[in-house]
Amino acid sequence: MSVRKYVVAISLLVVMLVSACTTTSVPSAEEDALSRLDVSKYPSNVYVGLSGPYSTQERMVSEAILSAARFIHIKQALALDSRLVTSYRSDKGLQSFAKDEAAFFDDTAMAETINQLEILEVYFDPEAGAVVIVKNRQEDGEDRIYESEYNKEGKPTWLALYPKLDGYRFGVGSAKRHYFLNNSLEAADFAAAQNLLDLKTEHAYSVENVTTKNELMERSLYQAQRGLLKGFTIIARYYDKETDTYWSLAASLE
Amino acid sequence: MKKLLTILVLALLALAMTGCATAKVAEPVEPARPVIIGAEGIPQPDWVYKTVSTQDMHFETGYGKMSDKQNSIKRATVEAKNKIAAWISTQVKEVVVTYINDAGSGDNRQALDAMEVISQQVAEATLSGVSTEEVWVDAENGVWVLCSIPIANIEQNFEPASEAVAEAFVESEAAEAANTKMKEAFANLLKGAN
Repeated sequence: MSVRKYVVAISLLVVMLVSACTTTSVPSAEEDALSRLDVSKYPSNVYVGLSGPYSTQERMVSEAILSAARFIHIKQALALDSRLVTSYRSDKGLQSFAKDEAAFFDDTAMAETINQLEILEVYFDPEAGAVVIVKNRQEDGEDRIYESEYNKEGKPTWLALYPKLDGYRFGVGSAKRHYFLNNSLEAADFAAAQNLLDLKTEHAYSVENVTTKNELMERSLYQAQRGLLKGFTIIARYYDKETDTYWSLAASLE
Repeated sequence: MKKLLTILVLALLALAMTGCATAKVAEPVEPARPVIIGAEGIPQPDWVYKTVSTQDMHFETGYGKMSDKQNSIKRATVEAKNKIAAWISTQVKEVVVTYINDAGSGDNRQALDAMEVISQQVAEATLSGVSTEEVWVDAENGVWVLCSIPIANIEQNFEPASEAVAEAFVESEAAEAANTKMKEAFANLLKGAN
């Protein structure tokens, strides 16, 4: 074996060793999927839709387009309903805290909305399925109203403090991880919408019944509330790995 | 005479000056409150322990500590709305029954009085336009909220709002059963008292 061959062989070994020792910083699947859903660099008439995994790419793309169109309709108007029952006994503490919440939007003109969409980008992600970024040609594009800021730990500041901006209201929602990413995000978005309703209630009915007998107090409380959100948009998302929780920051018009 | 008049004028002037002077009363110094820092590094706001009031808005606070922040906010806002409802409309019914056990005679005489009170308080209202003005999280992750309602919304007719939520309210079977039990207890008590 010539000296040249030795040098080549040793060089190869060194390269292999170095490669083996290097740790590649691969972002986790969640971070990666969420970063693909971030459309904050686009104007406000750009939406993102995701499908979740399906058997074919065609199906995934059509589901993702539907999902984007849904966000456009939700932005127009989102009706919320929330009912809560809670009961308390002085000797046993809180006995129940049960809530029943729902959200409704008008999907009658969904096909018309989809016809007006311009597809800007399509990605495929193992967790998110198809991710489509679309532009709504029926709407003027404006600057995004808010950009997330992060604290020393790298967490967005809106987890602790609601942003304040004239003409807008903000709500924060969270959800534990569901089996599919799209379901986790939908649950967090829904919670953010309900949080907006909790913070500003247009109509509420409240009835409390307190009975005191000797030294025992029993209390039951029922509350129903309804509201209509206009301009509802998810403006930021965050995945907390420690608690395996998805967070959504939502805004609506004042 | 002139000297007397001068003295009189001076005396009156001195009196007038004394009368106008206001004695400086030392203002009571409020004891300094320790600064309480919440879980998010924000000091405890005044509204947590002080009543807030303005002429056009009514304010109430609410507190909630549940398994997560979102439910804590929900509970806190529910409690604040309940306080607003109680402020608007509260009905209290009370039944007091006194039992007297009289035994013995002379020096051994013993009289025992026992009193039982059953009270029922119902707060029921339809609210319109309740806003959460502030949120503060204490060191134990309990959430405090300050909610407001415009006084004008309380004064106006609530019919539309009432209709909007009336259909949503269906009393649960458990609540109905509890109510029936409560009424029976009242009836029994009243029978015993007669």
